[in-house]
Amino acid sequence: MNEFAITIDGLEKYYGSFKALHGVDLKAKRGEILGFLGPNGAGKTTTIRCMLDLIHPQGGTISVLGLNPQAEPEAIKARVGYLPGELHLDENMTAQQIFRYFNRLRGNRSNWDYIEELSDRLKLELKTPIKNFSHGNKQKVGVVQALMHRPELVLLDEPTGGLDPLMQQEVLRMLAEAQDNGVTVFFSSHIISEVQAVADRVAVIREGKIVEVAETASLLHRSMRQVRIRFQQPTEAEELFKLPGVELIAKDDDLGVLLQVEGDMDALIKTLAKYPVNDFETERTSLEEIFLAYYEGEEDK
Amino acid sequence: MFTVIRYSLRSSRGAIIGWGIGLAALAIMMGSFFDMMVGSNEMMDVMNAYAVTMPEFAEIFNFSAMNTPIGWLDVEYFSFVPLIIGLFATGAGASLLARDEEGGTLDLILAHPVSRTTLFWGRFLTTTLVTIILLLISWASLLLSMTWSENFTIPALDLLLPFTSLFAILMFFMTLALLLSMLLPARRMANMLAAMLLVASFFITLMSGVVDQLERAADFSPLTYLETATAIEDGLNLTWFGVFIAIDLVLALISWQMFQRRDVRVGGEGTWRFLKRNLRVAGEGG
Repeated sequence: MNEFAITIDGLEKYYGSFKALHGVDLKAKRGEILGFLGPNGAGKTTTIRCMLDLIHPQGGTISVLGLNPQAEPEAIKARVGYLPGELHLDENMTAQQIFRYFNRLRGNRSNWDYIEELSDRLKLELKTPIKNFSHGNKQKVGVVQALMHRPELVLLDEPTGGLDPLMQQEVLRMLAEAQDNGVTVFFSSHIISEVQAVADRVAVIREGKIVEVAETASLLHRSMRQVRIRFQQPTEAEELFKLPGVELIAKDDDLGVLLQVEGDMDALIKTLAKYPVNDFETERTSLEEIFLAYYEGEEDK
Repeated sequence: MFTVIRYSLRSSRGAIIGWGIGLAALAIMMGSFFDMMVGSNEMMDVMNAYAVTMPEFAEIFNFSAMNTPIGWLDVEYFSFVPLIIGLFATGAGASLLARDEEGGTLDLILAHPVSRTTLFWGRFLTTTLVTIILLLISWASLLLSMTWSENFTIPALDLLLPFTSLFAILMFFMTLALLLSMLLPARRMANMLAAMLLVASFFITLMSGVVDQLERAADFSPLTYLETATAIEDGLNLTWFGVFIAIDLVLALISWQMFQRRDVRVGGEGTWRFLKRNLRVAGEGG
């Protein structure tokens, strides 16, 4: 079996003369949770919709679960769960009727007990018409329908949008459990904290091009850190500031310095060993700050 | 396919009930009004007076034949009912897929293992079925009105023939609206354009009998080929019926091909750039 649930090479998509995707290259390993980050209009939704043959790309290739979406869309969709970024449901139906309808479209593959279990966990009222639901409750319907047939791959476009923090946590737990059962989870988000919480890897898309794909931990590890040092006595530690990747941000007084360190800490710690240090504090940059750094770069252009 | 048809029919319940009640009421009145008219010498005198003083007006509405059940039905029912049910047909055709696309629900439906072909033809068959149901309601209601009318009598199977002819014409406007919904950026534009063509066809056909300049235009007006009294009296002209069914199928096939190739929008109406792209896709051939 192919190691990758999703393989995208050089994907290009135009909307008229506007080029939405500039050759997207991306792979999602089977059984992983891949977070797909990017601001509005970066190409997240377009990439996901190409994978389901909802829109047709003009260039590049896509393989989803070893199949080509343009050649075998139904075979892929039978094995995939999808939650659109802009979820619209038939307002006159109840959640229960919608699940029955979608279940029939899938050939009655879902177990009704499992649907009720998922609904209970999200505190979803099954017999209320959709028109009486809040945005958050509609989103719960979307989450349940994406998971109810136990798909091999779930494609989720902003899955926690509109949910309260407790429900957001519950949805993230569901995704983690799905992963434990071997499901590949591909989800786009601009809530960085949730990507940081559950994603094994992160892909960042900017202006229709993937600018970074890395393991979440590694991305955090090799990111900037802020290091606050307090010496025991006034110290002129100029050599610290000349180390590769080290930048002096501020001097509190003669005793304290605030440094920004990019990458490995080894050289800094070894050099620092020559000096009498009273306190040493390090703070890792959040994924959010890394993400923003990509876009600050974009705005500077 | 069965699931698609079943759920499409479910969402058409309102249309069937609403349109069905209206059309049934209209048909049921026919028998009573006919008895009232033929029983009234004054009314017949008025009709005869029209024929003398306003011959063109009397000719358009064929007043001379109104004292027979077939003539009455032709003048008082089939002169305007095709326009009314035609408006249903254009609305249904334009909404077949575009309503769900603009409402944003098509995206999620097509993310399920149902092919575009199944969805298209499932919806198409449902709308065809709903059209047939509405025509059958009208037909049955006319038969019902005959049961309590003394003078208004037409054999049931003969009465079915004008409705058969009407079906082919309605399907033309339905498939035309469907095709326009695949081409134009918004469903309401497709519906409006198809409805305008329907209304134009109605007036061109109606007036062509008295306005010579409209005779040529009437040859291109679909409602000219609607057979009502002639179908009951002489039988259905199967050639024209077959031609219209063939045109309906061609329009449906082109729409199906366009649906196969198009990008499904997330929701909302499209833009004119969408029309340009669709024309290019259509130009590339099926």
